[in-house]
Amino acid sequence: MIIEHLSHTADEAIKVEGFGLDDLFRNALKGMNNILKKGFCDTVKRFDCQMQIEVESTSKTCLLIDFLSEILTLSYVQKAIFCGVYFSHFSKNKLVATVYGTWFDQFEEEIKAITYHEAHIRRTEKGLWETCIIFDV
Amino acid sequence: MMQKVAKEHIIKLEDYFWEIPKSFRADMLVPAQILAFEELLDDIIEDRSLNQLVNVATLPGIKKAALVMPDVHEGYGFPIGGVAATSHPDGVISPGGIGYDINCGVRLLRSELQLEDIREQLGPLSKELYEQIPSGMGQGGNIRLSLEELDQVLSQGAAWAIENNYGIEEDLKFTENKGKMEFSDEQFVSVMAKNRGSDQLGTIGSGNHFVEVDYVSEIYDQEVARAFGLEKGQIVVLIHTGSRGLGHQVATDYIRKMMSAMADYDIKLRDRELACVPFNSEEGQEYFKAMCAAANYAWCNRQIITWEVRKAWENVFGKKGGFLKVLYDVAHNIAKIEEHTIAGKEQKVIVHRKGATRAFGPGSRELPEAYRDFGQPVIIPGSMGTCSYVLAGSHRSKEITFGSCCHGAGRRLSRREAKRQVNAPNLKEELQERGIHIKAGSFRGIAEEAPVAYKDVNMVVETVHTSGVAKKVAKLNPVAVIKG
Repeated sequence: MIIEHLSHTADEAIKVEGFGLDDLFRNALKGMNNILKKGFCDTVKRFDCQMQIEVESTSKTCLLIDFLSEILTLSYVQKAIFCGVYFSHFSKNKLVATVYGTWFDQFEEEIKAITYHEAHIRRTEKGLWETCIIFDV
Repeated sequence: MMQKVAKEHIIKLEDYFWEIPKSFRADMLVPAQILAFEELLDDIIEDRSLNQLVNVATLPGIKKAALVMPDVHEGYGFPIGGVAATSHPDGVISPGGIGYDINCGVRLLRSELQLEDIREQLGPLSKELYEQIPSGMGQGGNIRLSLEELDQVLSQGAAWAIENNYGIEEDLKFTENKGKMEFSDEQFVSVMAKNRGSDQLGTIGSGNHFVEVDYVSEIYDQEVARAFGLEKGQIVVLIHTGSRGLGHQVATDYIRKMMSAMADYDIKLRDRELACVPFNSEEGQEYFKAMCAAANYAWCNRQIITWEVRKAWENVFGKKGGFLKVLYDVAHNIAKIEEHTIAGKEQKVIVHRKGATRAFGPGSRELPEAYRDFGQPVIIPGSMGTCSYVLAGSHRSKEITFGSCCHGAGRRLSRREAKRQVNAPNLKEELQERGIHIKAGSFRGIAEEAPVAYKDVNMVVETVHTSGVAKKVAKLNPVAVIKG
């Protein structure tokens, strides 16, 4: 699991990698949660809530951004950070998942949105999946 | 690989005005223009904001030119500091041209006190403001709205706050559009967006949002300053925030919708964040009505923060603190239907301003009567610890920038780089020694917003002043900064 922070004048940007697409999505979620509250998911000992999500998009890159947007919205509405995810269906354009969240007191950073800008899921020479994600903060 | 805009691609029109001609890229429908002194331009070229501007110049229905203000910096899709006008009603509307923080904007309150009246109480005042104004980063603010109340906020804007005793009728007179966009329709705002907005009224959020106490350090135009109720040494309060999670969700929802809908209108773009549809399409109309509703939420938010500031003011100074009057409230992330002269003809256009302030000149019907002879107040916040400006819009803005002006200093370092370069505890101490009290949620937030992370606001303001787009009226220097 590799998450690298990049520089972007306006926002927070990360480069994320995964062995498979589902791994990439999990790592991207971890990257987003680390912006909301650094290290929170590393110390979570219990889940307080679980939600079902279903996301359908026009491409795998859009699916990743829409997946993160969906969970970000849930974080704000449920006042929880969703560190756990179980995919019951995962294809190029659609996923169904159960996400597990833990309630929190205060975010460290407020992410306004996950942008599609410069996001592009591709295969690296090493056979990993990678993309850059820019967060509007 | 896309060709990066370089200096040799740019033509000088004036000392402060530059153009990337349509011939730069085959898909440009109009030229791209830059309002900036050459020193700023040299900096602007470094990031990718001008390539983003060139992409904006390809939007279907764009008129005259895609523009950036001198505080421009790289965004996503549209550059921040961008202005684009598309033909009404068949040109496109693009949520990316407004930004995720719909109706992010500034409001300036003027007090009856002078710097020497409050100098000794700056510590308690900062503390009281920090206590009265929640950041909303955790469990929300102090106001919980029912769905019915939230719908009223979305349709009435700042007037909802006045009706519910969070202000006075006169506040509305000095708010752009009287704090309400008439085309709003709350039925096009999603349930999730409404959920996010239900407990965030009266909160500032994080990032570059703040409440700041300043004193008027310099007056450049006595007559206009008098009309705006400003004098040297006077204390004013500056509020910078927007539509919070509700607006962010509206933008997210509709960018996603438009990305799928674009194919139906045969629109192909270089950057997905420019996603757009014709204004008069079903999706275009739904977004515009939802955007207007989110803009109303933002005006109501700044009105309630005004009430919180007034409460803090009274708690610290009692009756002798006097009353804080609204000088003006103006949006800098919004799309509006306006009339502009293009090729000698008056035309209705949809003006997208993303990180750009409206700057209408004297005589405009849109201005409060008290300011109509002087031009619209344009409020330009600088970076934390530097200075801010009050300007007055002029007719020149209608001629060259679709009635628009810069909106701030403009970021030059990423937040990560700023955190790397700045020692926040030292900076806080340094600012304290200079008489500036900072109350912030974290040292990280202070480092990210350090002056070194921003361009020189003086140079940005000099550009717009020299261009005639807006004229300098007064300079403000901070004495207390409250951040989320």
